[in-house]
This record gives sequence, structure tokens and C-alpha cells, in this order.
Amino acid sequence: MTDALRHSNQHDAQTLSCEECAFLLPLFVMGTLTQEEQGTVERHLEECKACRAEAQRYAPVAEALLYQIPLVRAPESVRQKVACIPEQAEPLKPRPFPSRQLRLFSWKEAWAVAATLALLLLAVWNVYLLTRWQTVQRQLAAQQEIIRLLTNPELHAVPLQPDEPARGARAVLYYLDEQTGLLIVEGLPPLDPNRAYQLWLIRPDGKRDNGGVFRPAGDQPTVHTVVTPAPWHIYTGVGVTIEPATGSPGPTGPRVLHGGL
Amino acid sequence: MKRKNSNSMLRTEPAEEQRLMARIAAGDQEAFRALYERYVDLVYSMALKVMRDPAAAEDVVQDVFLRIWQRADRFDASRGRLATWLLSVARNRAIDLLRRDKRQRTVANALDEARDDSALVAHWYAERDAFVHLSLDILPPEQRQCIELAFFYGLSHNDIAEMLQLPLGTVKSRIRLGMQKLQAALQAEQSERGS
Repeated sequence: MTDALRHSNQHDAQTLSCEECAFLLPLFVMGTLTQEEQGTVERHLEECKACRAEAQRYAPVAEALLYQIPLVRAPESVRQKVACIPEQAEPLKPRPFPSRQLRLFSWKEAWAVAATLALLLLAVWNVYLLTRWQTVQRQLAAQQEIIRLLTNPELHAVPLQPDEPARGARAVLYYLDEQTGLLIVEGLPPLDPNRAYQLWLIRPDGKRDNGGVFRPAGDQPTVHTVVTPAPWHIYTGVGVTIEPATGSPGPTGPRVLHGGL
Repeated sequence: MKRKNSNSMLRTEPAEEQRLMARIAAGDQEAFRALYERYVDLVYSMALKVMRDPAAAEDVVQDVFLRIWQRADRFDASRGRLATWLLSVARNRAIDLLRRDKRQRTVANALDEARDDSALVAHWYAERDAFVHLSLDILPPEQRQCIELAFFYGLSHNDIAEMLQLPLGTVKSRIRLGMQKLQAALQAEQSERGS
């Protein structure tokens, strides 16, 4: 044993015997070996079951030694310093409930949610812009057609006469010898959502062809594009009546405008 | 016998201790207050035992509770009592400061126990002995001295041998024999309680 103790300083990691390890285990369990000794013992314990068992037997002793102290009341200055810690110290890691306020997300998650929302809003905005652009394109095309028609020197213009239900209305029908025309109307009374104005094209035998339905555009003049089933020269007159919103096969409601061609 | 509070520091259930630490980890200042009111004397006692200086012990206590406030999530009730964990943290931190300030041998020279026969200490001994069935009093003084130097001051075999002017082998033998005696006493106590 004496030889073993005398040579126990030579802690060759490769040759630490169980007897040498046994003398180091108490301080190993206490955690007070030198760093070199600690490593040597750890490597030995990896290989030696018996020494591991002995180390485990010492563990409760090390725990019990913690309580072998006289109890002393802490001074008031210590209590006050400790009491101030939550107010002065910053946490080392994010807390789930800082300052008693509920946090639903960590900062990383919050950024991810914000970025996703931003992308979503951007996508929605793009769809809206595309729709608007397409609408504007259609309106532009319609206006270009109107300009083409109105600037045609062979254009015919026929003022229409208002009837009783629409005494304050003014209307002009513009047409060419093709099958397109424009009805520009102002002052027609507003209609219920389930009603519309319908243009009729009157043949010489009295038969009416459908010239399309339209609704007044508030205070602005209403421009209704007319596409006739037959050339204009076939027709002898036009009329506008109040019909169901989806149109009618023939005039059923009161007449509001009329004119001869 | 005067009691410090109605809930003694060693008689708390593990689940209760885990809940308390979880609340502290979540930033609950009331839970932190409950913790230090219950354990500040214990932590200070360990700090004073190691540092042998009230001002230095005060620094240790503040450091320990700061660490607890910042990382209470490190406590695991399945691995032992909260009091044990706190004492271990306090001891380790105090030894670190001793080593940093190179004061180990200076404080370790004064090994006289600070005895206080107040009602507080009497209650502590009674409570402790009910849960910790071990006393260094069963050891011969020379074994107890070596074990205390190693455990409470973090001294190595060489340091103790140099301080006490003893052969290295003698120090190792004393510590090993003392620990074996303590381990046997603990085992005997557990067997008695079990029977």
C-alpha cells in the first residue's frame, strides 16, 4: 500500500490502478481533485465497474457533508441585496412570461409571422392591382371604341324623346351603318336592384329586337354600347322601357324614351 | 424551540420545490421572494463556512441567488432536494472565489467551528439530523480535519499535505478512511430506518 501511495502521484492515465483510484475517489466525488487528476479518474471509471460502484457509494456521503455546517442568520444587508436582484438583474435567457405579461411568440416566431403576413398582404395587393388594371384596360377599350364612333363623319345622331316616367331625361342615339351604336342618356330615374332599362329596336312590322339592358350610372351620363342583330337601316325606331334586371324577351314595362330612325 | 418559519427548509416535497423553481424560471418575483426567505440563511451559512469572512460571504450569497434568478430552470427535483442543490451551488461558488482570490490556504488555516447556541441553530441541527443521518463527530479529529479541508475549501491532497506538514500518503489515507467510515455509518442508519 505504501508503495502505491508513494507512486500515486504518477497518474498515468494508462496505468491508474484501482488501488490508486480508490485514494482519489473521495476528492473526485467532492469535486476537488486537480484537473489532471479528475481526467485520470474519469478515464479509469469508464473502464472499471468496481471503482464506479465505489464512487457511487460515496455520493450520499458528499451530499450529507453539505449539511455539516453551523446555521447562521444572514444579515439584513444580505437580505436586502438579494431582494433587489429581480429588479436589477437581466435574465440570461428569454422567459416565457416576462414582467407578468403574456407573450404569445418568441421574437424569432414573431418575425416569421410578420414576414408571412407581409408576403400575404403583398400577394393580395398584387391581385387587386391586376384586377384593377384589367378593368381599366376594358374601360380604355370601350372609350377608344366610343371615340372611334363619335369621330366618324358618317355617324347618325338621333335625339330621343322622354316619356312620362322620365320627364327630365335627355338621350341621344349615335349609330353608323354598321351594327354598333352608342346610347348616351342622362337624368333617368334610379331603379330598384331587380330592374333595368332595356333598349328596343323597332322593325317596320312592329317587331322589337333586343338592344341590350343598362342601368343609370348615378349622376353621370350613362353610355350604353348597342350591338344590333341587324343593320341599322332595317329599323324604323327605338324605345327604352323598364324591365327585369336580366332583360325581357319583349317590352313589358312602361316606356321612358322613344325616337324615330 | 423557536422555529424560523412554519415550513422548514428540509421538509418540502420535491413536486413543490420543482413548482417553485419553475415559477422563478418564468419570472415570478413572489416565488423568488419565497425562495430566498426560506433559504438565505442556509446559503449564507455555507458561504460563511467556506469564506470565513462576512463581507465575502455576502458576495457569494448575492452571486448564488443571482444565478438562481437567471437560471432557475437548471434545478431538477428528481436529482435531489432543493436545499442540497442550493448548498452545492453555494459551496462551489465560494470555492471558485477562494481559488480566484488565492485565499484557500488563508481561510483554511482557521478551522475552528463557529458555534452558536441560539434557538435558530438548535432547531437547524434537530431538523438536519432528522433528514441527514450523518455527523462528522463520529470521525477521529485528524480524519475530520482532512475531509473538511478538502470538502469545504477545495484543497487538493498536495495542498492539505503541505498545509499540515504531512506525507501525501497520510493525507490520502485519512481522507479515504474517513469517507469509508462515514459511508458505513450512513448505510447503517439507512438499514436501521428500513427495518
